[in-house]
Amino acid sequence: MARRAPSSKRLSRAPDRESPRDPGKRETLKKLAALGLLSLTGLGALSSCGRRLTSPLARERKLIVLGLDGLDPHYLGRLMAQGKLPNMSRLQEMGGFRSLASTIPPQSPVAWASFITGQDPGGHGIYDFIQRDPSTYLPYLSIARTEPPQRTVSVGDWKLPLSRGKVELLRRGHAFWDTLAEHGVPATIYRVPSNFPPQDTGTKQLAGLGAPDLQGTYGEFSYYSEVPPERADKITGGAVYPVSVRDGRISARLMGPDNTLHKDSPRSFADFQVWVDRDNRLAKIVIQGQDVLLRQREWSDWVPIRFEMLPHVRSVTGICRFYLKEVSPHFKLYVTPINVDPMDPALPIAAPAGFAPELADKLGRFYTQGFPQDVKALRYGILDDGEYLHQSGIAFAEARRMYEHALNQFQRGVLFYYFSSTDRTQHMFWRTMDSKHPAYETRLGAEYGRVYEDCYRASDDLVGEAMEACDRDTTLIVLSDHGFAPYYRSFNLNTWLRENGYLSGFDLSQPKASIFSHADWYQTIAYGIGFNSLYLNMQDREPYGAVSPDEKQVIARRLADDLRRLRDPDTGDRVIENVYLADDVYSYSDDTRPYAPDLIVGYARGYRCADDSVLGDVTDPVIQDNRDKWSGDHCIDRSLVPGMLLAAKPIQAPGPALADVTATILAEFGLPIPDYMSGKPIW
Amino acid sequence: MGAFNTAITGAFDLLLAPFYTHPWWGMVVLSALSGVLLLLVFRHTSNQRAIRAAKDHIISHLLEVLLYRDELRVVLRAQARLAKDNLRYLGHALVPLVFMIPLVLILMVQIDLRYGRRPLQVGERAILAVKLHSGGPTADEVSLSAPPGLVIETPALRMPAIREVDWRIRADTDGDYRLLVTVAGEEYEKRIVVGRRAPRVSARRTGEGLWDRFLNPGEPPLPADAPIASVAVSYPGASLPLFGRRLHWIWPWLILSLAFGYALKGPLRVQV
Repeated sequence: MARRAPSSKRLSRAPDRESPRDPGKRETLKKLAALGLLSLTGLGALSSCGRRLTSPLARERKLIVLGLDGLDPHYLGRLMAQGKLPNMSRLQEMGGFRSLASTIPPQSPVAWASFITGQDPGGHGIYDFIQRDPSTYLPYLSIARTEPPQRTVSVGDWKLPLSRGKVELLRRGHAFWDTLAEHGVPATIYRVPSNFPPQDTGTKQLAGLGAPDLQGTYGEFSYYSEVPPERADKITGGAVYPVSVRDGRISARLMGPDNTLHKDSPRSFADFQVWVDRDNRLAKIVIQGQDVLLRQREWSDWVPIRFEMLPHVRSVTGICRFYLKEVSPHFKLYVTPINVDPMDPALPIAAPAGFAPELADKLGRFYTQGFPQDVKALRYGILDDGEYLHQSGIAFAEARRMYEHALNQFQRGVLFYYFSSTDRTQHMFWRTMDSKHPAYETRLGAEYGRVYEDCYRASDDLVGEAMEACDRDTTLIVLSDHGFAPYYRSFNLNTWLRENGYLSGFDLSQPKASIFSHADWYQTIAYGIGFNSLYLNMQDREPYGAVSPDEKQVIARRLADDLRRLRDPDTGDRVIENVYLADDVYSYSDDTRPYAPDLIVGYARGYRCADDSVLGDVTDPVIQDNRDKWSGDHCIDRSLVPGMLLAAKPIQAPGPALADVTATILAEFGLPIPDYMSGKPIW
Repeated sequence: MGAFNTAITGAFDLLLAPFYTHPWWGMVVLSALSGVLLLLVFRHTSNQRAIRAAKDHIISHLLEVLLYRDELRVVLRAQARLAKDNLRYLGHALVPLVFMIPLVLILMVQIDLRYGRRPLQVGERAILAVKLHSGGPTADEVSLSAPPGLVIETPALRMPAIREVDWRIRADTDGDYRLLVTVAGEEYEKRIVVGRRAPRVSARRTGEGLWDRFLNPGEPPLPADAPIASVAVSYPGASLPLFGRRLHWIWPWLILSLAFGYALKGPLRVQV
């Protein structure tokens, strides 16, 4: 009894002491140990069965994929020929350089979703930046959907959730990193577009394009000024607040996300004060116990802001940067969109959830919204070109610091890193290097004409860093999702549809109308929503459909022919290069078919769908000059804006496409290419 | 107050000198010290015998409720006595509380001096704020000079409405620096620590009332006739690392000092 009843400490020590003297017990212990080992091995085998089948090449090979959004192969080739991109030229000599066929349409969310899944848009369900809900005709952002909690309880003015809200990734299909993980190949994915919210399937991911700001938008700035710009109420993507200086001080309010815990869902806010010294051109912002002292034309570091939802119980934290645009003669303060705080994310911007705080802890806070560049502020003249470049430079420096960290940490499997700055710069600065552009000015050309080239040179540095991080077992692939073209003329697709009898119900005397409030749907044959998408008003799909399934093919082909024949009355140029029938170019699944457009408009070089038409508006005239700072674009025909592909191995495929790169990633690790993928390895 | 602050701060510096290798060591020592000191104060300022008696009565009334739960009259009477003895017990704790509060304040001020803020790191920025006495010099008469290693990045931001002048400074090199604030020809120092692991960080040097000086013991008070009320530096807040998370010092101190107090009340023979 004395031996059987001692404390557990004694029990664990006793065998060591007694076993040499007791052969019988030693044998028993041996058997028990063997049994334990067997059980562990069996359990291990069971746990790996069906979950992880380690690729034999997983331990040997490594792959770095660098995504540079919008890098144009033609322009790139010219600079390489001039010896201005030494790293890319070296990579070309090691392996190869090709144009890379983009998707139909060549838009970033669509193209990167195809890269992620190896499928065409019919497979992954992302057809455009903006799609429409067939049951309501209303537009929505195509990448993600947010749903409030299904069950709530009301207590006075408060609406307390009993279940969780949901943020859903609308991209369908299987991501390549999930296939890799199933075969034991680890991957780390930084900022790839069309991946918000990242799915927690064991791969480290940080969301990219598609990740919203704290308000749930693609970026809404705040601007406080003693002299608000004219037509400030027409500004989208930001808000202007008139302020006045009293006793050297300004009191203002920074607006946060909607407070969904309140029955009226008012916007949350944080009050702040600014002390102004006009003589010394300084100001101090005092917000939530934090002081930020800035000189005129200075940017602050990240400032965390807490927005109270339920007093003393629930709040969300965001981060923003302040820019003191002017103190004298007039006070002007710009505040960036409020980003999700990576130290305490209010939205699922990373998977696993701890990945974003881990990065922030090592690198400091960083931009978390998918588009960190404040293009809306530039377009509306809130920031000038120099100020915008400074802001986008801050975002680029942050991204680069994270990129260097990612390269240093990379040890096995696949590392994917994405930069958006290349795309944004080309959108905004085409007008500075193309004297044919309606927004071109000689002064602009002299001052900012090199920005475009500098953006390619910076990309070359990134490639150089990746090459340095490669050892003999590492392969490097550099790709872009599309190229670039000028955006000279805006085409109002819905206005053209109205003038040609495809869209009905509009009063022609009205300067601007929306299809959502003015269309006579029963008489409407087709409508446009999104940059390239054209929908037939189908009886078997839309609530007030006018086109029967039997007529669909005939009408679609007639409409496509009409569009292809279209000429610009001012220049005589073709407006549209090609029109694709979706049924001819997409392989649908059942759940992606209803959201697909029926026709995809491939605009000719120099043309693009007008912003108004993208959102369903009908405005005069049909075609006009584009004088916007948004002066370069790629939402045209895919044959005109291919992406680029550079690789450290010779490229065998003569005309590779995005989905081929996905297949190559799997093939690099000896994995079979799934049937649903349309691509083939490029070597 | 100046001598008091110097003595107390010096004593804490001496006590913690061997434990600067890791912030948790100092926190454990300070929590243990807090637990012991507060227990001792409680023992010597409370009526231990009366507290014991009150606790015994409480237990006996609880037993009464349990044993005679079928007899309503007894249970009600026991509960009334239970409430009365509880009040008596709380009353016995009031006197020691009066003695403990100043001790807790001293401890908290000293802990905050060491764990509330951290030194600036190289490249980091802070705001130096000078508060002026009303009726004294104007904001235009205040200037600032910095030694090599610190950079004054902005001109003075003058806020006449609240009699304050601010500058933004940047730390360029590790070191223990003295900034000079000059007002109407008189110079006043403010210490700034950069980079190094400093035993304590004084955010504010003040010459205002007793209470303000008590709360800011890290530097000698400003002279009583100085035209400035305080000089403050916006050091970043500090935190203690714990399993990948960061904690404000108040939580570990509260939990650890309570744990030490509970563990030591037996050996120190304290009735709490």
